[in-house]
Amino acid sequence: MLKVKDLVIEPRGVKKAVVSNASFEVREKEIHVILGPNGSGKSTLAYSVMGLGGYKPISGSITFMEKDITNLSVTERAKLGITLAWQEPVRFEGITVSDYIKAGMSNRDESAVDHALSLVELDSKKFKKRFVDNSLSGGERKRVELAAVVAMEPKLMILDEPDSGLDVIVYDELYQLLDNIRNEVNSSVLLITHREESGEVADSATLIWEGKTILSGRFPIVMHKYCTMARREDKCRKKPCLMKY
Amino acid sequence: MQEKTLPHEILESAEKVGFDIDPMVAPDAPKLLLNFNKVVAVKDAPGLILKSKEIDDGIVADIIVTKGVKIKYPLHLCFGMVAQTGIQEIVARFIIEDGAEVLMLAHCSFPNACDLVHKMEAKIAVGKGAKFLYEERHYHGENSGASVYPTFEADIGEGSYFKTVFSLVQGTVGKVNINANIYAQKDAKIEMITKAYGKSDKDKVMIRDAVFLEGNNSRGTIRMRAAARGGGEVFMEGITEGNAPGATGHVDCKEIIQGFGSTARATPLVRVTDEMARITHEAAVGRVNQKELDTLMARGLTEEEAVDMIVKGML
Ligand SMILES: Nc1ncnc2c1ncn2[C@@H]1O[C@H](COP(=O)(O)OP(=O)(O)OP(=O)(O)O)[C@@H](O)[C@H]1O
Ligand SMILES: [Mg+2]
Repeated sequence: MLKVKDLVIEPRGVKKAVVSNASFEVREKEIHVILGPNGSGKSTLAYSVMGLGGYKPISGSITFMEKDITNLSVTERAKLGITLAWQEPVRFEGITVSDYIKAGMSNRDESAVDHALSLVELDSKKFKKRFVDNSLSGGERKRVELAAVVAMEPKLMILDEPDSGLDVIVYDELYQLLDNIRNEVNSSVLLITHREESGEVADSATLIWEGKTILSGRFPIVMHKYCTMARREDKCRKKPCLMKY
Repeated sequence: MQEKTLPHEILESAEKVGFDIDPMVAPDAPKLLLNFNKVVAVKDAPGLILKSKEIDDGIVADIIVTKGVKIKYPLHLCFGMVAQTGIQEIVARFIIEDGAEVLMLAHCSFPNACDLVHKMEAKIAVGKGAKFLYEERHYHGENSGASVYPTFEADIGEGSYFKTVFSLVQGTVGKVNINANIYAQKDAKIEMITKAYGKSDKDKVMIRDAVFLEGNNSRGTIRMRAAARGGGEVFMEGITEGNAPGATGHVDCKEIIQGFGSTARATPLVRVTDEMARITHEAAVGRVNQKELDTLMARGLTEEEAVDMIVKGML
């Protein structure tokens, strides 16, 4: 459903390509994980797929549901059903959680807001009237972001490290939740993460390294490649991720 | 006491700026409502004294909350004028005695203004251990035809809390020039919030909010928020002086420019004369934050809708 081909991205104000050669594919209703070390270009890739102004590719193409979207604006892509949850979501002044979630919904129905909040385990009575500003904790803000994305019922959710900044106990639950969500709203997920536990729900994965996609395929194989390149094989042997997932 | 009715246009504009009018017109609700130089409704309450005198082009009023009295319901004030042209002048004294508490909701409405001038001179005296919340919302119609010049002088006594919210975000502005000086005594706490939205090249806003922290451990925050579009001009100056040990203050100005030709200027000005005082400030002027825009557009809003939502939130 999403095909990224030979993408080269020089973010606005940067002289060199941060992503120099990226190709991968996300199939319908699958969870596709993007793995790669800090600074390898994962977020940049996510912004470019979303169509953010500062991240127009200088070459390559992005196809979504058989349609070339390389030159579409953010709004146009969002209307086609693509959305993004930021790694560090921005804070707004004077916008309530409820209004924020409703902004992306077509029917703006109150009970759908409650439902989205309950999916991310936020008490809607407590949070609906709060502002999406600095008063939310880091983890709360990320949950609100996830709720807003889910409420849109998108066809493709790009989630940039939704697991960072959440308390440890909820990792597993989060992946389970993503699994439930994709089944409930029938959406595909492009999941950027560092955590091997995501393998529990991942259908496939791509490894990105210094701006280049190295390998796409089944999650354990890609994870193994990541560990090899990161020279973490010793660690990996102790935790046999190849066998695990 | 003369009971005339408030022109419906004034009630409509009260609703426009988001005030609930039912409690305002309720017969028992404390109120002082004017149209030009006529008092159209007045209702006091135990411990709340409302005295007014009609003069040629306005009124002179004393609003007093007596010692230790806590006024349970908000006092509604309306300084309005339905005429298209003319000059209205209000001289008002607000006296909040020791230990008194009151919330005032003021509504300044000039719905038909074409060439209209409103001047207001307010003197505010708050005693010790009192609490005074004052919210003033303006509506100047759709013709940019009002010129509004209020001045406020306030002295806030020991351990008292004073909060003011001024907003002019619905309809047009015309010309607005506000000048406020607030003096905080020992342990007093001041909070000033000012919001304005200039929408065309006929809209010019100039607001100067100043807090003088004169007493030990007095505290003050000034928050100014503005947006300008279509050639509008918004200038805001937030001043805080720390002149006593332990005085702490913060000035925070944020202005958003939409489109071409508009001007916004935010000047936080801090002055400290006591080495044990501390004042901080921040200011941001310019276009809407890109990440905020991107985030809302990724939910399917157009750029215009996103800017609108961000500006509305801020104001
Ligand atoms: N606007 C920019 N200006 C300068 N450098 C940039 C810009 N955007 C990205 N970069 C650089 O490009 C590289 C890739 O950044 P990106 O945020 O995509 O990495 P990432 O894989 O998401 O890393 P992390 O795991 O830490 O989130 C980094 O070295 C980063 O510093
Ligand atoms: Mg990143």
